[in-house]
Amino acid sequence: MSKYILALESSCDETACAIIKDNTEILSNVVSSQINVHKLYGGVVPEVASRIHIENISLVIEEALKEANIDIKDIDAIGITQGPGLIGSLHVGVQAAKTIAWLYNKPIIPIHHIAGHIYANSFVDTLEFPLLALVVSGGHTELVMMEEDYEFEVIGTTQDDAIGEAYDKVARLLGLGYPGGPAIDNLAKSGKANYKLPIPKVDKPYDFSFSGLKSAVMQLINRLKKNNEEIIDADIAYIFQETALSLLVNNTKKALNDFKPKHLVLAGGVAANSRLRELMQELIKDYPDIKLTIPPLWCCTDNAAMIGAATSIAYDKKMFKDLDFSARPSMDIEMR
Amino acid sequence: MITLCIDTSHKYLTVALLKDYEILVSFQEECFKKQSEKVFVVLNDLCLKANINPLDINEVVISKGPGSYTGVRIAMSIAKVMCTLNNIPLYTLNTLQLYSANIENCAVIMDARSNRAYIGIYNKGNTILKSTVYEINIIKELIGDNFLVGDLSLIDKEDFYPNISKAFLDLRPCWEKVENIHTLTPEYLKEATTYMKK
Ligand SMILES: [Zn+2]
Repeated sequence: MSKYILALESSCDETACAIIKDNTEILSNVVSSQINVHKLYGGVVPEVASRIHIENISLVIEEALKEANIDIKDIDAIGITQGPGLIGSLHVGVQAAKTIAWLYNKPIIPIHHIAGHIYANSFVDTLEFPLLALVVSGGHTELVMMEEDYEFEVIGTTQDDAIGEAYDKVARLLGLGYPGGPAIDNLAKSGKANYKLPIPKVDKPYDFSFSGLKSAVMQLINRLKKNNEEIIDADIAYIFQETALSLLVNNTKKALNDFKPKHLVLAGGVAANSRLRELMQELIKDYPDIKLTIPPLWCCTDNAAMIGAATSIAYDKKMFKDLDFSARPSMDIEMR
Repeated sequence: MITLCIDTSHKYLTVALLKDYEILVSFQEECFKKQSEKVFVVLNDLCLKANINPLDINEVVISKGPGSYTGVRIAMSIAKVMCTLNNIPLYTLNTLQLYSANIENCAVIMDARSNRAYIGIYNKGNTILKSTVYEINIIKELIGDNFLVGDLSLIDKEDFYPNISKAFLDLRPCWEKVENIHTLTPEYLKEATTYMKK
């Protein structure tokens, strides 16, 4: 008997619904992106995001079912992003998911957004454990160790900004607009190692810090202005990207040495960064026994298929919840 | 004909199941900011009590705001998904109109925070003054000698709220049918841009 999961995701600026068959077969994956709206504001405005979610929610569910050509009654379980994310946005998805579960008497499984990003890799590769995931996005910068399926241990995290946030802030300094990641990645390609930035220091071995780096970029620009020197945007983008990504690579390397996983995966929106992908491929050359998976671009950004992949595993572990759970904007992945 | 009524737009959670022209079961309790956890517990409970399968519900009516943004979106998320999947009609009522509960010459006042309030005036559900947001001192001038309902502590009187389930039932002629369920959005009365981070 096949297993069908309907998954919903609304934690930030995408309203999404997907139908997944037998863990990894994507029958439909509908994403309604708000990015063009948030571009106008220079970032995600929470109340605006919630308003767009409520506008789109019923449509994406209907589309996903239609595309998958499946009757809702044949779905085995509902998966929903419970957190972390924007509270107002999460609420819309959670209510929608509960509605389906209640109406059709289906089990419901609340999912941690990061679990979704990690399991997105299962669409392109079989996950092998122990597994190390480098999770990088607008809201997250984490190194997560998994001894086995659905066992998460956060071994390193950011002490301040997420890496995607740092990209957005530096992009704003350079007048590149929102989202900053792709813009800086692109500009850096024509940049040279003309400037220097201090490497941020952290106390814990696998932790990250990016807010100091953003300030250092600002100071660099101010100093150049004061001295009437030319500000070469591409060179600033280059040195910011190289410094920021070197933190990711160094900590990942440390974790590979210390935890000796069988599989290294990238996850999250910043996993789409071309330079990070290059650096990771270089890094893994020193570890012939470790498999590296870099997710294709379509499953780096937020979508519901990834939530469906995580739900499929949680379904086998029967992690069903009663309908009285609530959205958790600052949910912890290690908690059940 | 089984009708589900939900109001989550203020500090109360109200859920009712109507059969034709009477209330089968209903729930109305103050549970500000707890509606999202509670609403499905109540739905399960009421269906059990009334011996109704959720799939037996023929239509849904909700309040569409103005009110608490998060609150309004709870009932609306449920209604939009339910009516889309089950292909059943969805009706809405303006929240202030609902709270006017078929009373003659009734002014409804609701807190809109930052020294402002929503006001709407209705005569047996018919709109006399369309719901609008004003500063409290202007509200005081607008109420006239209407019967007052809502967050009356804003104007130094005692709060008063009607029986919402009964209000849903009594105002049936005022229910507005939603033509396109997908495009339905709450009545916020305030621009989202007001909430942009500086
Ligand atoms: Zn994400």
